[in-house]
Amino acid sequence: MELQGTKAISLHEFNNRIKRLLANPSVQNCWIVADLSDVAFRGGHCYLELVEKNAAGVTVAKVRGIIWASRVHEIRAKFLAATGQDLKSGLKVMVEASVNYHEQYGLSVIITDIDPSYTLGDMERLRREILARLQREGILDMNKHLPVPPLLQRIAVVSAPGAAGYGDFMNQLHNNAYGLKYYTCLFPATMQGTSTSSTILAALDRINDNVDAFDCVVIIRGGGSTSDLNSFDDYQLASHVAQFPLPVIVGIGHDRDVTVLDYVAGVRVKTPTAAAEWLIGRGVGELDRISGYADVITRLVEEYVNSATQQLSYYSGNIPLLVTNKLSSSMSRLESILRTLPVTVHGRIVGSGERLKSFGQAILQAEKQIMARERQHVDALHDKVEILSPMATLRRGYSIVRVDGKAVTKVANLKKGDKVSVQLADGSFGSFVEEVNVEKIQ
Amino acid sequence: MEEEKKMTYSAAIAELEKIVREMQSDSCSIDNLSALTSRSLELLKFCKSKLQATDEELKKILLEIESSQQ
Repeated sequence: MELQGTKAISLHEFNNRIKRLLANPSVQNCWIVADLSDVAFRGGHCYLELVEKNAAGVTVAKVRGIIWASRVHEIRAKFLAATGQDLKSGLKVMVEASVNYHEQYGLSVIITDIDPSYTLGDMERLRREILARLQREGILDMNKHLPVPPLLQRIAVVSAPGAAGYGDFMNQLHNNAYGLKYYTCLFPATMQGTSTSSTILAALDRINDNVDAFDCVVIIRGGGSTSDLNSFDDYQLASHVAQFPLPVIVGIGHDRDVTVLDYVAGVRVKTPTAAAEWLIGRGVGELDRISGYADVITRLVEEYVNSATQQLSYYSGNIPLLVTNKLSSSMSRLESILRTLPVTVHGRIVGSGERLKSFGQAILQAEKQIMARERQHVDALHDKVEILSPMATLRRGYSIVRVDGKAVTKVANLKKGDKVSVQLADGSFGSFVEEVNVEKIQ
Repeated sequence: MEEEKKMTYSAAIAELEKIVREMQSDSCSIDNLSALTSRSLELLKFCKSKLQATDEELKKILLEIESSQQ
């Protein structure tokens, strides 16, 4: 050991010794876990602090870290692809680091690699914690269980005003192919960065002030998986959305695992466009429901009218005029119904109307046939009567004998000297009875 | 008209459901069929216009809420 003061070395030499000491494998290329803090990008390099805190949140270890420009791009891209976010303060990371000592700038660690799965795991743990808490509090599924009214038309939109996603949503919704009308009202919020949660919460408060004016809330954000989604894994935000009195539809545009916000929202879709499509789908469902009712009602009316016309045709033999009247009044009532039916079902009903019309015509036709048959029947009867009448008999050589205008049917009623009148087919003559012979005819 | 203004879409749908059930029941006669049919047509028209016709008043209300935030 050198004696103090006798053989002093320069600071530079001392720092050099430190540097040599630190060139030890045990502090080179170590994988370490820490929180990121004070992340900054300057001159292509990334400067940051690695921090470790205890359970009480007190910092127990801290070191400066650097990612040299040569590694920055690859590390950032790798991290972004896996976690959907950039390196930023507050994240828990696992990095490969080597200690570096610079005679002038002191101690730091050089970061050469990162393992994003650790961060993902931590984000997942955070999400699970929030979800477990919401579950414990009994509010996790509240928004999902809200009854959704059939008509979702008055829509409170939470979005960044100028965002492309907002434009897509509005365009898709208001220019839908079904002529469905929607009424939207924008409640601006910042949809990225640290103020995300607080501005969305403020927007929700403003919606809540006008809660009766809306049917649902839509929270949308454009952009794909590249943007930062951590802000949506927030207890306060999740708790408000879960307990919000209107159904909340979330489309915050990402491909990776669901955020807590997605989890608590009544409806979760991927993009703003999909949110608009979901709403349009609901509207189309209602249009279908209405035309379904129109169909059922038309069919029922048709059935009733059919059976009524059948009943009428039963009476038509007796009261053809009444049938015609009833039929034509039914027809005109049906026609007025057809005129007032909504347009989409009109086509279908016109078809039914045509069928009804032809049915009515068929009835009139049938009625004519009945009349013709009756006429034939009467003609036949007439013939029969004709045959049975005495004239025909007289023409066959028979004659009628009358006394005082009454036909004589028994010789027992006659006696010699009675004056009788004998009728033949072409006239009559008078005569006197000469003798009466009663014969037993077997 | 006044009545229609107060009617909600959900109420109209519920009434339509009721009418269809009634028309399908055995107790429905051709005499009340006409009344049921014309009521159902009113309701169908109301629902359709709710979905597809612009409600200027509603539009105005939401615009007011939107502009009141600035």
